[in-house]
Amino acid sequence: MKEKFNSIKTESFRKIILDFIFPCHRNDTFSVYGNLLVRLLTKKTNQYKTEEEFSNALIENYVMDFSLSKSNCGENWFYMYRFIIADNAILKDSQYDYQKTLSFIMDTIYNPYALSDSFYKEEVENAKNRLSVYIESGFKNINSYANIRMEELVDDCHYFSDSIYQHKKDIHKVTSKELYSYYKEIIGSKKPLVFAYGNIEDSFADLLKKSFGESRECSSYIPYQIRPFLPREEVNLVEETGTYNQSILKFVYKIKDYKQEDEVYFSLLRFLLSSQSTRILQEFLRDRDKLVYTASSDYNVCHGLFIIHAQIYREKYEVAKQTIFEIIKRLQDVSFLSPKIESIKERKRINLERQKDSFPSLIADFRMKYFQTGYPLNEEYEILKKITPEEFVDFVKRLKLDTIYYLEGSKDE
Amino acid sequence: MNKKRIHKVLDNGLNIYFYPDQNKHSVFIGFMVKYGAFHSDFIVDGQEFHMRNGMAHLLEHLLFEKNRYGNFAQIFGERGMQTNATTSTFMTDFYVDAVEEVDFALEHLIKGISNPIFTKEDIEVTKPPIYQEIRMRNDEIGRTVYKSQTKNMLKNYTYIDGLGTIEDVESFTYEQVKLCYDTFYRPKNEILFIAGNFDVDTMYKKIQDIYSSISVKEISFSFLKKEEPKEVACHYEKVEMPISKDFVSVCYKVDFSKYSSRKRRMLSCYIDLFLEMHFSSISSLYKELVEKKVIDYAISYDYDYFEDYLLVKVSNYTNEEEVFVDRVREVFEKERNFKEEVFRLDLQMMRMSNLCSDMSLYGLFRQFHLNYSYYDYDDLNTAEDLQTLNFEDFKKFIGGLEFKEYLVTKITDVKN
Repeated sequence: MKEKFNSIKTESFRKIILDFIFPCHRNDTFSVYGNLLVRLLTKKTNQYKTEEEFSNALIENYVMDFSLSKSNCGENWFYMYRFIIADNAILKDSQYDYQKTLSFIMDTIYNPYALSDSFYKEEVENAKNRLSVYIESGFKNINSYANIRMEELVDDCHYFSDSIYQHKKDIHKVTSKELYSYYKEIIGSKKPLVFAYGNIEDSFADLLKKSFGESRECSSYIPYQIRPFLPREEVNLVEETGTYNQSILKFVYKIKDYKQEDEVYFSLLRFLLSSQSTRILQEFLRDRDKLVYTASSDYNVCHGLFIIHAQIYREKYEVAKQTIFEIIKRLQDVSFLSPKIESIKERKRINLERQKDSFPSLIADFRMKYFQTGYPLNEEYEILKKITPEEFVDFVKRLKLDTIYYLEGSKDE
Repeated sequence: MNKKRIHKVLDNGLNIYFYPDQNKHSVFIGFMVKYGAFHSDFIVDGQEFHMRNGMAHLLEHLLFEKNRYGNFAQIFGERGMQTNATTSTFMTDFYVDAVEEVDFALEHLIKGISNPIFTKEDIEVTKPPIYQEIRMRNDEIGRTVYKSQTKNMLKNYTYIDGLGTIEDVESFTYEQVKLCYDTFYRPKNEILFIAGNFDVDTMYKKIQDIYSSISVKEISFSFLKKEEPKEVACHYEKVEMPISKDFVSVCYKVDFSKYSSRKRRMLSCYIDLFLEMHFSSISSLYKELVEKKVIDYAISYDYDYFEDYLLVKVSNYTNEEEVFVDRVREVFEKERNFKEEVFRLDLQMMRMSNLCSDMSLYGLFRQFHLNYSYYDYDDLNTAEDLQTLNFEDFKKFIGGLEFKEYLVTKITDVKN
């Protein structure tokens, strides 16, 4: 059984980060609910009934930053309350009482601005309006729109079916009472998984552990597993036009016989294409062919997707496509790859040193290990060190081009 | 992070600022040039020159990508370093962050920028990615609003933004680029910022050795300061681009000529507090506009300095343009809602942020850059800075500002 309370005690940083994670199973039906909650639960509580009062209370309780987010992890959603509080060993404020701050935190989580069995209708309406504007903005922004379309086009397994962009029409159906029931089921009646980072004294850790009471059940989650897409036979080529200045070109690959261990190869591929050490995309698309200001790559480790993204000028579309095909071909050339792979190994080694100064890296590594969603940096490096160019080429050969998406900008500068 | 600064000046006039910290695992080297996007008009050896927008940015790309060693991204990237360059309103920065081979990074950064070898062909091949960058930025709402504001509020300056238009950049000749390089890239007009894990004396000696092989030609120059009137060029502009809901921004031009650059640093804290009290989610205006369904989101606010003027802007998505604009104007021009409790709490937050934040070396560089380029202040912020702030001075200062000349920019969807 995984530990529910986890802390990383370090004096290298000057603040304390407290993450309270409430996992639940992904369910399309509740996609809108979750997106409404993160807009609703961060502004007021029953104790601090206005945004001004709540904002003042955050500062009075030495909370430097507060957020609530929703993210995906395998078959789970994670609702995460993050409180960044001052470290009193640095601040040295005699008024600062950790117990009082923890009480405030508990109140924020478990005493939201609500009636006994419902949120206030007006608050829910406001959250719905904000969510609607957010969704509409996503459709109008070129980068966001291109990502939405790309997900729609590649998703033959409906893995992205809980995306909020597919549930816009469900927003108005949610009632204040149903939303509150959902909150109660997922958060209000549960104990979270707690992650505390920073100069955590034992007394503070004890306080944290005792804060949640015995009546609440522990949150549970489905252990992480990859859910890979299966490659399709035919390449899906989709070309659209929009009223933008720039054009966007995306190549999306799925992986034959994808397994979790492939993550290290994904990371290597992305570094080869996009890192400053080898910058293959920039070398070909920008330096040599003058096609882009920027090109990048990314991957989805849960579903086995690899994406190349380039922002181009419309007259260069055909040339850009051919250049990307050429790049993928070169990635199967051992003599081309060998020095570059060695360069990436060196970069990763050096990054292990650099990351010691990074609080976000420390946190990401710890969580990855806890949820077994991937390899922490030092473990990844140990695996990467042993990869040969030939093994990497074997991986590249398993990439199957699934979708080419082109969004042409029709506007002239 | 140890914020104790050690300042030295080389014989050639180069200012160097060291922030050593043995707890860090890398060294950050920032090379700053006091020449930025705004500096289109200048005098060299008695002769006036007027450049189109985008020259400083083109020069930045050129020196980064076509220096004597090649492209910094490749040279430093191959060694596991992180590097980039940016052109801002008043300065151009080049930087590299190195865990190992720090000497290599230092020497190549300095010599690469200080001993250029660019040709006409280099300039022409640097331009196309910039054209694409311009197209990319033209799809951004924030940049579109910014361009509307600088264009319409600064009557006598040609500055609109740092990138320029494609036509601007296309027009630049080798002679113009060389003139700007020769004029502004001088040690007396440059700064080195070095932070992280290193020994100051050893590093200083290395810098001296590097510059001993760099010859410097003396040039006399000054930036041309224009007489900028208090009035704006126009009060309203509408721009069409893809957008979900109309985006409306109200921008005021405020005479700041009586405040020196140094004084502005602390006064900026008062401006931040004023904007928060009157426009943030704790303000009565925000509550009122949400209740009336004029806005859904938090109001965004920001400000910029251009010579003698402060441009203060407040923006939001709204379908009720008139109501939004009228109320924002009323708050700026008449209503004052000074809350001492909010002032006290905000100072507490500023103090916490200063003492307890874990800024990266790059973050420290950005703070130094901001202080230097806007406030002529050559150091980082400290918690002690806040001790000079008080509520009475705050009220008096804000009360003395005249919010009169303004511009409304509306971004609306192309189909509307």
